[in-house]
Amino acid sequence: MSIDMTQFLVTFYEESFEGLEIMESELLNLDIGAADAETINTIFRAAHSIKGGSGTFGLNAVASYTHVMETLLDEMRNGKREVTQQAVAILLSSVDVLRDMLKSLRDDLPLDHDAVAASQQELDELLTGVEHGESPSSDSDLHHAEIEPELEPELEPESQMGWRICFTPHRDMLKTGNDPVRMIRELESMADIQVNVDMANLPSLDDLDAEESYLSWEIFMTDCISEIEVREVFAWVEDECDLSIEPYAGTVMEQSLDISVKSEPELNVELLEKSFNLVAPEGEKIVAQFYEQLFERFPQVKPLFANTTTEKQQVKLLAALKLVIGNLRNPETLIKTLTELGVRHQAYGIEAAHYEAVAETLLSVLQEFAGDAWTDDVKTAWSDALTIIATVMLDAYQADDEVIAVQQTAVQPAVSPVQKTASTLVEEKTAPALTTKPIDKKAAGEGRKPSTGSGTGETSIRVSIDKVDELINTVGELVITQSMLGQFGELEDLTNDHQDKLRDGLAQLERNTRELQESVMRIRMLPISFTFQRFPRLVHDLSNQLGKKVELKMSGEQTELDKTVMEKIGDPLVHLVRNSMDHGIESPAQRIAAGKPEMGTVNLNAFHQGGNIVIEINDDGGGLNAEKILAKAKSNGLIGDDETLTEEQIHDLLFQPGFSTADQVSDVSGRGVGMDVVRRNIRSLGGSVEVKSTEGVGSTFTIRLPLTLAILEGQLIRVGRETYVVPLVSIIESVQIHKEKVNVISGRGEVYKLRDDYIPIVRLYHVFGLKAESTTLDKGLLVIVETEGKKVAMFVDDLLGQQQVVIKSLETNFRKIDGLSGATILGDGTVALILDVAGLFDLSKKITTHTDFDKSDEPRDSEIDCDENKLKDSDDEAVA
Amino acid sequence: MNDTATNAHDVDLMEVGSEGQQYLTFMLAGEEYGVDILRVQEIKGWDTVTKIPNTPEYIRGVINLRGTIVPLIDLRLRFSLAQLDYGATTVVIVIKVLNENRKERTMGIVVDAVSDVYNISNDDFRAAPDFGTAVDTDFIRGLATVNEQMVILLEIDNMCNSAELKIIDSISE
Repeated sequence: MSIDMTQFLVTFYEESFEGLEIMESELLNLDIGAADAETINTIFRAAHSIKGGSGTFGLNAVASYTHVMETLLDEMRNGKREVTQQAVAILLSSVDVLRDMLKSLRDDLPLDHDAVAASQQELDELLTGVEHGESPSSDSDLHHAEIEPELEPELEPESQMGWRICFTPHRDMLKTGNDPVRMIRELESMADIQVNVDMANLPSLDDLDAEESYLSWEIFMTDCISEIEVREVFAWVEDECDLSIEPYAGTVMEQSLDISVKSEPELNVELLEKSFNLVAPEGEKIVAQFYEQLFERFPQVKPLFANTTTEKQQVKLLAALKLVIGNLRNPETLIKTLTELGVRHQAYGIEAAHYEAVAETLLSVLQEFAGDAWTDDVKTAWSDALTIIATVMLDAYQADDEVIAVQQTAVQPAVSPVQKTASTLVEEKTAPALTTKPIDKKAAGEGRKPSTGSGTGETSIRVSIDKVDELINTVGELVITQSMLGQFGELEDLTNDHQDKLRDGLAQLERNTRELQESVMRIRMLPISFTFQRFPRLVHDLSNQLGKKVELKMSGEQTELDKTVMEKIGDPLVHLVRNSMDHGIESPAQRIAAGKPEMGTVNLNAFHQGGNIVIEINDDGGGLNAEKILAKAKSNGLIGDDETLTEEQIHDLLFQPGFSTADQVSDVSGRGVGMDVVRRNIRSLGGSVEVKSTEGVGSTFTIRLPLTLAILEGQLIRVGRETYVVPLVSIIESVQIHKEKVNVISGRGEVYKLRDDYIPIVRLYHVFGLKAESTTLDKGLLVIVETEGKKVAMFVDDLLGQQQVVIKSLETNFRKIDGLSGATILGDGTVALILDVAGLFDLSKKITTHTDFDKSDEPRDSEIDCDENKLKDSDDEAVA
Repeated sequence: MNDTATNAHDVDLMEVGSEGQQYLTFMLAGEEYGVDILRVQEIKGWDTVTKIPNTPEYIRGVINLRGTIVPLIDLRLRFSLAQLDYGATTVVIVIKVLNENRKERTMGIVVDAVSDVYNISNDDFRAAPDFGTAVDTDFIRGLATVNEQMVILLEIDNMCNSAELKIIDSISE
């Protein structure tokens, strides 16, 4: 019965990350001191599901870590513990740790054990610290157990040597598909176990029903495993077995004794001593005899003694025997000695089978010497003792393995911080990783999403069932329309009546198609709250870090946005919010001095406008200081000393590379990388970002984004014989040209006076080197487009229709062309190019050779003007 | 377009230099040129193209090949030969080109006419003579003689990745 668990694992990770997000947002919602029980319950449930899931998938590190969180939350839920600021902070940081753990596990990266251990310790301290008042660490187990008996096992693992598990499956357990062997194996994978099987109920073979379970087990676990973890192994069969799990305190020795001498809980020390004393005088003979017999009976062990002489070995054995017997009443010393011995034996290459050989030989030799005194009791005592010795020594082997494992894991954390820092640096060159860690890691994590997405389940989206139902309805209608139209194909002649029906049918088909398209697109749309939900945490952490009081208000979280756009807008938004908090909002003292409320406000607002989604980030901080920006830009050489700029232009300087007005570079921002990257990212999505600010009152950053990247509402325009598509969202209006409104600045740049604005004219045929129908301005049309707050008037021959176009990449088979954002296929099957308005404007600035527009009817010959070099290339390559 | 076909063809691409290969030949200004037939996706007639602004003249523009935007290169112009009017016999050979990263892309080459398919073993190759700077032999795989006629076998990847196509390609990726 092998199930491919990976598919469930993907879901588990998805759900866990969702759970973590819920925990995070609910934690931030918690009122300190007066926590709402339901909120705590929600957090608790999220933690509980993660714990349960991770246990099921064998992610024990996560399970045990989450367990501590859960315990803490449980106490809060039961009112045993107050919700303090400190507790919330620790829980928040543990959410981060947990998220990292899950990410590492998902991506097969090494766990950051240090961080986990440190965080777990914090949680533990929080748990125990409050329980025990002022002396958390020195408290006795007893005291602890009184208060929280249930928790005692996990919290004080060092006092806990193991568990005694009595596991008796009910007769019909096997029939439910549960196999006890698997559970025992599972336990075995968690810790060292000793298993005793009780076959008392086993019937004779004739009466045996192979599908029933007759056995019961007694299992001893020697490691510090939490009870919950042990219970989880049996989680599926709780109702189908008798299970008792008791803490088993005591030393390994005693415990081992118990295991091996089940009927006789106390090892018969007296008997051992007595019998040994009996044979002791002849010790040397015994050992000599022993080796003789050993080699005789088990010749295969001989090579193990190659490096030593039998005489030496005899002396050693005798000493060892005496030591063991002498220390029978002093188990701790005994175990220590045996453990050391075991480690050495391991080095010699001695295996478990060899111990059996030795025990067997020794027993028979002892019997020889003891003669009549060798009763059954004595024999049992010795054989038990030898088994225990072997067990302890073999345990030492595994202990040794663990040392190696620990050494290996110790190396990993040393590596992972480096990786982490590297990713932090990439994201935002922040130096003190310590303070900015939670945010940066998060942002970096989000940023990684698209790249790692392919391998993991992150590429999936959750679609509400409503949307799917709608889709199915639409497809149903489409099929009906299709069958209706199909009837016309079978007709010989179309009467007028038929033609009318056909027309109706086609109209219906068009509507169905449009609806289908919309429904399909809507599947990709997700509410922007997916992006917004990380901000409360960000603001919470940052305000603490910056010592500012900031309140975050969000509106329009339900505004829907294409998933691809959403993934890419996250980081720029984070940056803008951080900027607002760092540069915008003043310190509480400054605010009071300025007569503002102490608490600053950052508004995050999203809404639809036209075919765009608009996201506003608004703060009531100090606003932009135009003079400071100007001075900085001049000192940076971004603008000349004598240039005068409008306020808008000054604000626009913020988005220039290498610009930062922060007096001091802080952890949060101020390195001058960022705003230009923000703009670049938003531009690459076909959007724009602008800033409006009033000094002393605050600033507003406005991001405009297309709703989707796949389909575009386009205006078709014609230049000469070419058809182009202009994104409708960037068009403000189209005007017929009044010649008197055209002015030429210094014989070069034409501007058009539209109301109170002078708008630069870009002649499309000129920029693209085409043959236009009209080159005199009054014969064509001007399409006024806006990009990033700048208006441009495109001179075109004609406006054609408007239609939705599917964006096709030019880069798939060709390359990026300046001024074009892609291509599309029109109804007649021809290709139309989609203009990139911003790129077009940049391109037009480069081509400034043309001065005398109206006289020249010749289109600019691009092949000669621009591509001289390229032509030369092809000359070189030409075949003569 | 078909996956299996693409894969098979990938495998075969690697086997230059083993047995013989089939070449599709076409005419260009009286000379016969050949391309590896496994690279040929389809042959179609000349159709209207959409011109791409600010590109060299030999890039005639892009066409819609069943929903994919495919650029067309006029080989006459590419080789600086006199341009011929496009007519009913003008042929577009749609080929698959690999760049250095072995990323496949589809392109069309405009030729005068399609000629024949020959089996040419690698032993029949002559390396292209060195013309110095007069002729760039980078995109010539070799010369072969078929029926006493010379066929110029093209190294299509080099040709279509050369110069500006290639430079820009590295940026866009």
